[in-house]
Amino acid sequence: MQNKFNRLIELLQNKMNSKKSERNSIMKRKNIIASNVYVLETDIKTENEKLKELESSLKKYKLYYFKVMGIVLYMILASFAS
Amino acid sequence: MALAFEGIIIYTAISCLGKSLFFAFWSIVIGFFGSILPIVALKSFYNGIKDDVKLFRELRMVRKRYGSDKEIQEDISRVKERIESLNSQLDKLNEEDNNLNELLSSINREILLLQKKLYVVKETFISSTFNVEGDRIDEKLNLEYEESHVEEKVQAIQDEDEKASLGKRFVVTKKLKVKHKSQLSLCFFYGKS
Repeated sequence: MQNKFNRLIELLQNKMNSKKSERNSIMKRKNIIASNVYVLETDIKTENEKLKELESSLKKYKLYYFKVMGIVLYMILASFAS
Repeated sequence: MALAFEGIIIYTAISCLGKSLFFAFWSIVIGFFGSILPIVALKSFYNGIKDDVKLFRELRMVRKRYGSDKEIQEDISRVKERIESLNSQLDKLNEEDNNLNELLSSINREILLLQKKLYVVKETFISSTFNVEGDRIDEKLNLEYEESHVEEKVQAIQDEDEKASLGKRFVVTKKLKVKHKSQLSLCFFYGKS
């Protein structure tokens, strides 16, 4: 009877050890994921900043043409008036 | 120019001081505003031109960097695509993390259960074997049993179980008789009594 119990104890301990090692591997994977998530979030942040910059550049580009056209129009009108 | 204008006004005010106090007062007021307002107007005009020049420089820089607005739009779409791909990667990782969390909690539950089982199996197995020979085996066996204090040990374990709220046990008592020898062993198991 005692032998049976000892075998059962051994079995349970082996099972627990395997579960613990499984838990450790999961924790390792979780750590890797956390670091990857951090890197990705930083990348997304920088890309968003780049996008904002590009959008403001587009606005400025359009404004530049608008201003130049305004000056040209003003000069034409002024020459007509004179 | 503004200062000269102010000087003229103040001079007029001083000269007219003896004639009319009312006129002198208004001369000073007009002189004051006549000097302040042109300065403010000039300053705002200068600032406006300065801002315009700055903006124009920036616009020229953008114009030099990009050949056309299509290039900027292409860049924007490229960056948007990259952001989308990064977001999808992030979603995948978050999903995996959630799955791992679920797995971890189930493993933790299993470990707890195993620890409980192990505690039950390790700590609560009591086996006592009494070897008795000769006549009146049952009497001798009972005597040995009383002297071994097995019941006290059992009681102690059951008290601990109650404290840890592990449930109730039932006790299996087994008597073995082999010819003139007799054995008695006790085992404890979990069960619903």
